[in-house]
Amino acid sequence: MQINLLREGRYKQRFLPHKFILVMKITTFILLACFMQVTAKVTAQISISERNVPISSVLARIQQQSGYNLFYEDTKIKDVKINVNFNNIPLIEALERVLKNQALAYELVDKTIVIKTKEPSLLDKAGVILNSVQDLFQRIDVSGTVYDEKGLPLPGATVKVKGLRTSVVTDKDGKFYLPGVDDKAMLVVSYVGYADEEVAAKAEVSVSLEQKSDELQEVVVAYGKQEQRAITGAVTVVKKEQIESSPYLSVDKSLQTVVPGLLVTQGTGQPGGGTGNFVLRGISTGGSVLNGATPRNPLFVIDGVPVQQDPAQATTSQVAFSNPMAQLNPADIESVSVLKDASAIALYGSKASNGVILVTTKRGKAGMTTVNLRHQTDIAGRLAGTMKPLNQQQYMELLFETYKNTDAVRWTDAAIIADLAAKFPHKNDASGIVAFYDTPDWIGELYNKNAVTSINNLSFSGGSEKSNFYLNLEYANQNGIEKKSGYDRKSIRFNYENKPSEWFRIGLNTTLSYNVQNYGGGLGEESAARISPLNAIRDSNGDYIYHYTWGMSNSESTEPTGMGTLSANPVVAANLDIHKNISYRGLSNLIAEIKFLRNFSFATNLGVNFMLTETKDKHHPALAWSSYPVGSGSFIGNDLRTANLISTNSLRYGISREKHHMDLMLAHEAQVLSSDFKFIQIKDFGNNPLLEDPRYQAGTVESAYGQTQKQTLLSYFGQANYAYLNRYFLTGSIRTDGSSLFGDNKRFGTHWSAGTAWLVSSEQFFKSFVGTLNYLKLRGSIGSAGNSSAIDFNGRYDVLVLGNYAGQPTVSPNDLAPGNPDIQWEKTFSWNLGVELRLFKDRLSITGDFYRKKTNELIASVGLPLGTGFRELRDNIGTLENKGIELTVAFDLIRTKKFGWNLNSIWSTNKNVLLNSYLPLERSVFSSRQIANGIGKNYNSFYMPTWAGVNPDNGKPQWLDKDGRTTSKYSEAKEDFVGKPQPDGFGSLVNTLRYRSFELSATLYYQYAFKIYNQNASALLNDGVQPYINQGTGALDRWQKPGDIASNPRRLLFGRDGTTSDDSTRPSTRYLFDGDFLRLSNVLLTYTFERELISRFHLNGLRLFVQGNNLKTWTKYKGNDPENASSEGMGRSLYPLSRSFSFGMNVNF
Amino acid sequence: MVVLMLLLSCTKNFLDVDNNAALFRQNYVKDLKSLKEFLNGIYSKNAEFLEFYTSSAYPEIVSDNLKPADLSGRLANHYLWNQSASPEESERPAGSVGNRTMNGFWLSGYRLIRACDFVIEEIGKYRNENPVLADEMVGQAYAMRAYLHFKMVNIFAQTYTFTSDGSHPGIPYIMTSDISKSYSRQSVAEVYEFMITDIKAALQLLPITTTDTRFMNRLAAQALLSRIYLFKEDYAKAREVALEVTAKVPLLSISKGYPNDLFKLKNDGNTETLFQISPIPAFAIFLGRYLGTQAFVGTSDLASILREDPNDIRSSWISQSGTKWIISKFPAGAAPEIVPALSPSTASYYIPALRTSELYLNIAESAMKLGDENMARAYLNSVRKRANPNAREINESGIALMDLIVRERRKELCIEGLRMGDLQRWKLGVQRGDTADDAAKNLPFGSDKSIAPIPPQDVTTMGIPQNMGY
Repeated sequence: MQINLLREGRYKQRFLPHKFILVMKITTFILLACFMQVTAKVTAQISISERNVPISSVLARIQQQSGYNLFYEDTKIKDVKINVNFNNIPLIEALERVLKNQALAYELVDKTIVIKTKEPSLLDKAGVILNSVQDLFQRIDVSGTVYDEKGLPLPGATVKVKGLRTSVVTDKDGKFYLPGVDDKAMLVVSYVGYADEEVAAKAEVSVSLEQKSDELQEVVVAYGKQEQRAITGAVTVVKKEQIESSPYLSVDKSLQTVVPGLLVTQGTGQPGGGTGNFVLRGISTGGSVLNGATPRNPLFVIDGVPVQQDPAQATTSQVAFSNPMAQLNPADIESVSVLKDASAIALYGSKASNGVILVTTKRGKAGMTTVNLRHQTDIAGRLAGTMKPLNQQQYMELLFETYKNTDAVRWTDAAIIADLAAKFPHKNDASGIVAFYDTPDWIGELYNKNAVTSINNLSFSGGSEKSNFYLNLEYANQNGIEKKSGYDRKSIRFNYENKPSEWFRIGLNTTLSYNVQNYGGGLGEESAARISPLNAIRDSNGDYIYHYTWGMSNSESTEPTGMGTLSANPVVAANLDIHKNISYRGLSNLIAEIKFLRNFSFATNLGVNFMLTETKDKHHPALAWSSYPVGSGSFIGNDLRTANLISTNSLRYGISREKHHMDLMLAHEAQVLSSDFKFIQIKDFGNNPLLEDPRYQAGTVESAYGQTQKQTLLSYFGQANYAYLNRYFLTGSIRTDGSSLFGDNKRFGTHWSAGTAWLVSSEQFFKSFVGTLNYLKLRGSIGSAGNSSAIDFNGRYDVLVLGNYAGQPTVSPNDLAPGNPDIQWEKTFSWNLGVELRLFKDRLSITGDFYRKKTNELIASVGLPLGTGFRELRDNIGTLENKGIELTVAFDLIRTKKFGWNLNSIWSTNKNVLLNSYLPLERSVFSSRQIANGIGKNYNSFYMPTWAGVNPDNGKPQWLDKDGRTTSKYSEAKEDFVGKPQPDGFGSLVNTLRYRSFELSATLYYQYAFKIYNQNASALLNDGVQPYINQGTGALDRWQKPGDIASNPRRLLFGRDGTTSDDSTRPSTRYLFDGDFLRLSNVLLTYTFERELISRFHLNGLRLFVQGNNLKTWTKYKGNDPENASSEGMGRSLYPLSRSFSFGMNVNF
Repeated sequence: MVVLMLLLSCTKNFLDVDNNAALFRQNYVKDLKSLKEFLNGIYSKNAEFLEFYTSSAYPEIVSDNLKPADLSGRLANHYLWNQSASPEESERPAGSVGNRTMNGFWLSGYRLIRACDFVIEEIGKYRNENPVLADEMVGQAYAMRAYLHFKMVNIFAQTYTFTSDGSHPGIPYIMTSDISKSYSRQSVAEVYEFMITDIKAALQLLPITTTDTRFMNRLAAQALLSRIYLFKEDYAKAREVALEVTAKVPLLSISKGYPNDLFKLKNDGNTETLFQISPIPAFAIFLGRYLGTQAFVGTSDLASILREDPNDIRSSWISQSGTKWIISKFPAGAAPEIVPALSPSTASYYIPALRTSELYLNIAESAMKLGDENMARAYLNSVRKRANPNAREINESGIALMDLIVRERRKELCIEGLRMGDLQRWKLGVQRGDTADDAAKNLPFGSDKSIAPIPPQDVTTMGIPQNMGY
């Protein structure tokens, strides 16, 4: 009786605690999350790995490790030798396995293990009787191991008894144990990404699963998943391995080299900063990119929730300092699907015509809990550009020449020295003669040589057949190469899914992050390049010089006798000023799904995207800034809150009948996008350098304003997928979107798509080719998608400004843009043809896509004729076309067990043309003035006079006039389209070598056939227009005397000869350069430890890597860095990119 | 349940977001009261942009009354007749250094014109609320539309008499608020016809009595009509209309406050100002502020004329400071009603846009041209003797009399924005004795550079012809 009780206890311990332990685990992880305290040994875990050991010694080890007492009678045990390989398994399981083939049983009594002779229970006895009656019902206990195709154990695989509900999941050693299985039963072993395998039940089984070939892999697509082979559209899938060691904090930057058709230009090197270009298959909207706005970007959808990318903070540098994508931890990403053509994107409304990037975050896998620790340390330094500043001697040489060219009589050496002494800090030497300070090391003072970044992720994941979870804690700290700049992110993600029954599933994906960005004002590089080498950082006492009156600012007087402009020493400013963005980000969605009536399912998804960014921008009162004199100071507090809600409800119907397979979906989606913005500027606050927020103090409010916005979107859509013989595929979709941004009549836009694919290689007639060409798929799609992101919430209204006249209230139209009630959706119509083929047993795979997209009703801000009373209007102005080719070639040159060599090449080309527009030539008011749009030209092209060199006779600048002759009068120079900022093509080449456990890969990235207007060059090659700021070494090649062939004109003080200006630095192709570049963007060496080697340290996986980023650049660009450019191709001294070296490790246990 | 609620909440109303994040015309201007505020906005923006100091200075700078204190300052290119077509878009005309156009005047002028159009178009909707007020409002809108076009046609087109029948290019006369409609340049004659039609329409609607001279009114509209006829050389009508007004509003005498009270708001009836532009709170941008050494100084030409009779009260309008002539015609602190007080006080005064003295001079000139020299002398003497009661009684005739009329008009109306228009009208060109720069001495009548270029935006996108020489 007692035995029976004990045996019941044993069963309890085996089955009931399963849930209990899981609950315990989750509780533990929540506790971990809350307190970050690791608690050792929640339950007794046993690890023994030995061969040919007597049972008695195994039991002894178990006793030792568990801390339990052990009690048994020696005589009862046949001390046979067994093999054991226990790796952190629960005590109970260990005992089960040891005693498996013994006539022994165990009991746990308090803290004691009692081993006894097995006595059949009543049930067993009954079973024996039954078994003896009928052998068919003989039951066996099955234990086994599941391996992957490389022969490594596969944890988390599901083992199911065919036809029954019984199933278990393999542990982290790939092992499973299924007791009491009918010995005639079949076991089905399955695992995500692997083909199912069936085996007959027996006491010991070993199952090897084969990975599904690519075409059978499931890919995340719009509102669901599909097998790769059934996809009719152009979709690029990026796996986490392709981006996980990237040194960038945001996923957008990490996608640069891996997605054909996606043009990414890094833009700024500011940690957590925005991109220059982030455009998929060419510009397909006329939305303004002013202040780093992102209407051209593809739509990011993370776990079903669209996320904004517009910067939280307006910026004047054209590339945003702040990038909301940097608030989301890339380490949480499981996969990224980039949807490019109509068939894939027609299902997303408001911003889909730019393409859609679907991000899926990690999920726990059924099986044992895995703990993963990932660490990466980067050491970064400034990536020096091609422009070098003059040293003091060269600077003086040019300056003296400038003076003398202007007026040799007035400007004697003594007069020049006296003038410079009045303008620049200096000391007198012993004899009282003016002596200037040595050239300071501006670069050294403004930049960190070794800026350290540390990225740490600790994740816990696991689950069972019923539920799974993934919990990740992250701390990333990036120090910028500009002093006092950096990014610091703490994030947590918790993804949980539960399936209480076969027909119901509920899940929550949520992440929270806290981000602090120091952006250092963004002027470091520009200051360093321009500042006169006469301006010393410190005086002879070693004290900082706080201000300079000349030789720094770009708004200096244009008279030598003028006052100059008081500009702060950037080193002092870096120490005293505060430029900080603090962001709180939350992204969460709840999914519930029910299945009913066999073929139906209904899913609801409720998502929230929340961001609060608080900007604190303080210019210290000790320093003059802009129009604020010393003593005033300026503090700008700038809070932006955005909260977007999305609710999606979908009804699906799926049916399979032998050769036919069909899925239908009907759905409804509603979104509310709201934002609230508050701005305050204060001056005259205290001098305390630590004061981060003087709003509490009694400063003077200089200005204060705010704005609330709200937009609603409502959509209905449907999708149908049909497959015949798994060889012919058809898809179709239709979607209607309404947006509150549009007037009543233009509110809704309807879009549709159709796609088809043919798996040629599955045809009978193709069988003879399969030896060489083992896979061939042709696909095509057509359809349209809409875009409302190019207009803002005021779009259809005339904004009035309040006033007062003669004591009476007045309202008047504002001066910018009139409302446009008739504005309607941008519509992008596209078609895509694709071919996928694989040859020589998958050794060579080629994917090619050809596409054409036409954007009708292009929305753009166009300059109006001023007789309208307004300067610009946002309107549907015309039609834009993009067409291009994308090609991906992957080649396994060598593929042996020991050695591998793989080449992977991506190449994309895109041609963009403005087909028609109601304005033949349009220059937006707000864009860079060097950019214009013309029919038949690339949308956004450079438009300026053509530089015709320097006149050798008189050193004057020359341009081409309307007849193609040279002229030295800028007013006669003819403006023309002279190039474009978007490259013709770009791509990457990744070379991967594998030797045993080592893997070495090198990534080359290139862009070609585009131009960059170097805005900074007009200052750094200014011919004396701004005589006192420093020049690039290129300025040395200047005209000095008649007959000189020089690239730069004569130097004149303020560019003036008497009262006439040479105008040599006015915009022209003089400062327009080819931007083509080739960059060795990444070299990565990884070492993955053999499992056997590390298992004794209780590790499941260990990977170490070292990498270098931006190691070498070859470019035609004469400027800082070809990627330091805005999406309009304006090259400036933005925050430089960095070259970095990383070390990292990834541990699983 | 939740799902059902979500579905129900997403009816069509879901997309009707009340956008009250800003003041929108579509939501705000919905009755007579708000339309009145919109009409008032025309005056307010007129004061802010078209009487911005560079706008006010322009006709005096391109002629011979003012010059930039510094040739690297504002309006320097205009002074040097160095304007050029460029897409500059500053809201405030020539509001930045180096600007070479009057695009800002065109931009702001047309926006105000379209605001007048909007009032004229919309008034029918709300007339029932108060027909008397509605008629006055639309009358003001018609007269303001003519007033604004008159200012612009003199900046962007050659004077009426440039061709015998005024058939040369004028400016677009815009009579719709719909910006999607295309427009073209009317001839100068057509522009004048439209202006006259608008004023006649206004006169049908505006009340007989003037209650507030800070707003357009019947007498002011008539004064404007007289000016338009004079520019058109329709002397009989110019005199006829002027006489009607002067019968009601006589010259302001010194004893009643001339000249300083011209620039004040007077409710006692003792004023000759028919329409005056009030400064608006917080915008200290009237020209008076910039007539020290800051931006613009008087020319020695103007000084010699104003100071030829030391007993003439107007001789104190200009005084020498070093090598510069400082104009002090506009009294400081003359608009104490404006709260908060304008700072500096030199910007605090009312700009007289139309006043009786001009009408007296219109009558004198018209009478002279019509052969009635007695009448011409009488009206000229009134203006002269008002400023100096001991001034000589003039008895000249013929060309000598005309010269005196020209001289008196320059003296009385200097820095009030009429100088360039008058010189053009008289086909005199600009002759400056004040400058050493040869290029800035003489601008012959009809020169291309005597008018401003049309903004290139309008030339390229609306296809209207550019002025000759640009």
